[in-house]
Amino acid sequence: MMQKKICMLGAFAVGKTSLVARYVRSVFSDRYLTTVGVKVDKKIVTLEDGGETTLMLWDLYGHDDFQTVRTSYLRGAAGYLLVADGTRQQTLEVARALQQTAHDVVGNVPFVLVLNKADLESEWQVDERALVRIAEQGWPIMRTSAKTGAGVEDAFSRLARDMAIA
Amino acid sequence: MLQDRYASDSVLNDLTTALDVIVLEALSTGGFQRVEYSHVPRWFHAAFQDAAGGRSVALQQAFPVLDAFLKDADKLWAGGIDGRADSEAFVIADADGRDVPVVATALAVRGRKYLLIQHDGSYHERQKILQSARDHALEHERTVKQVNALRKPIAALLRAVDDQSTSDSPSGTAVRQHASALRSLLDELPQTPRPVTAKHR
Repeated sequence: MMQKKICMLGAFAVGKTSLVARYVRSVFSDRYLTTVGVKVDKKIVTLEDGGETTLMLWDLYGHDDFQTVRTSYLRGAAGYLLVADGTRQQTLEVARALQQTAHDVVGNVPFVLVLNKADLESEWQVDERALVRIAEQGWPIMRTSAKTGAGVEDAFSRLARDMAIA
Repeated sequence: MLQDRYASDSVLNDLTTALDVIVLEALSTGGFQRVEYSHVPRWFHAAFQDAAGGRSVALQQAFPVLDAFLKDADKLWAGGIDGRADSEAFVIADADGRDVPVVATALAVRGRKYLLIQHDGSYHERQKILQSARDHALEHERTVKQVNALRKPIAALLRAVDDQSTSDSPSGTAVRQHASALRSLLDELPQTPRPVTAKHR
């Protein structure tokens, strides 16, 4: 079966691990437990043409002053999910910087910008004008909530579909 | 001499068992072979059933993270000088599905190429430290958000105070001084933290 590598990229505490846990194991924990190092999960998906692909989900530690993502982890990625926390504006800027890094390493592969924590609508902070500008650059943007599961399947499916036709 | 050899084998097994590490050697034909008498950790078995018996194994299938690390290891091994390269921690699942943090080390020793995969005993300590640092960073972000939310109403209040206390009376002067002090304090409060820029490693 064909395998495709997907990297989860984003600032710390945006919900990368929670998104993977929701997508692969349908679970969620409210407790924030920071990721150290890397964990790879697998999920078999059926594509629109009926073919199956194993998605190798590389859950990388959050990017910040304490840990910077090793570019070697990005090599061979067929796509990546840029994760930002909709309640923390600065995580969108980190996502944009990481997109540049990823592009430098793996080139023009499909990606999806995910605004996570959509369940915290009252605390939403992301600047809508900034999102419009990002969307104008052709970035696919999706809202998700690892807590409720909203949008999670759609985000990964969108990426898998884009990778299949890339 | 024979006795020394047995002692050495026993020590290798004892040490690798105590350290929960497996010692592999890169084969010239590609693949890896377990070094004789090296312990085989349970988590290694779980991730890679074929490892026992010193057979050649496709390691990256059991440990996908090694796919990235072995490129660094290859550079070390191709260099022809003794040295080591360490991976970052990565998490695998044991036979019961529990997370096991491990770390890989590539060694070049007198022309031989070794790969050690070891249970990362300091992982949870590092995680605790990072957790604490990030919890504090999140708390700081929340505080800054609250402070920023206060800026506008306080500025409006200060403008109103200025408008209402134009008299040269001692009380009017005092109010203006307090307002000025409050304005300075407001300027010194923390600003939104700068976003971390992506650094290449």
